[in-house]
Amino acid sequence: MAEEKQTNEVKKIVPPVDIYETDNDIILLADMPGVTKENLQVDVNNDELTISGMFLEDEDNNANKLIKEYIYGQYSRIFTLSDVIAQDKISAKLDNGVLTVTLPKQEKVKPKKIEIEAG
Amino acid sequence: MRLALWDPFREIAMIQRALDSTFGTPRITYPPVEVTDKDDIITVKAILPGVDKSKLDLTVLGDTLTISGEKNPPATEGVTYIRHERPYGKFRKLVELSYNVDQDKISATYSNGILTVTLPKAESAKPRQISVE
Repeated sequence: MAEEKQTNEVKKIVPPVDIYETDNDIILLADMPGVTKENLQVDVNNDELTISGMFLEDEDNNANKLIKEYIYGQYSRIFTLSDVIAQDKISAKLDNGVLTVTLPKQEKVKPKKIEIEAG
Repeated sequence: MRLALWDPFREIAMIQRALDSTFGTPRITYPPVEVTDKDDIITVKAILPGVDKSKLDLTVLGDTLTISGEKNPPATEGVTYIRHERPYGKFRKLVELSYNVDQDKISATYSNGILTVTLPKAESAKPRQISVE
């Protein structure tokens, strides 16, 4: 069989996410197992948050595969940011294959406790 | 064909396969795995992002590896969920290794959300060359 030149067609993987809201932030958690800090990208551009990362197979392809239930490829997902988010304060961390993006709310939309003075 | 002792785990796996074939699309139980065989070493990789290592339990019986554990939901009180797609809860996965392995030489690592278990084949499972006199 003629050895085909690998076209390296990278498969797209949509990472599952949890998004929740606290008083001060919106927190996004994305499962991106196999991704290292070096090949992870978190971008904010034009009110869009893009997360992407590569999940690559080991160089060693000679191993005989007995079971294969998952695919390698590129994780990628885009989210639209509302104007509630302070875009310049977004931060991210990667821990055990889980990406956590903290999206702080603008000061003006944070709930404020109003003290009631005794009359 | 060889006779084997009754193995309850294999029975469960068989039932699961039967159910899968009955209900159409094969269901992959959590976590998805990849099993490879190279140089008489079986390597099992499982996709397990964000799991507490201390909550992972690995057992080997015959040629079956069982990966079980629990993934805590990230939810804390006083938060409102907008999306909830990531799986959590208790899981238990039976992985058929196709070979008997040396129980004393099994090792496991967990990094970047991937569990890697290395299981060298048992001597009896390795191919043997027979010289002809």
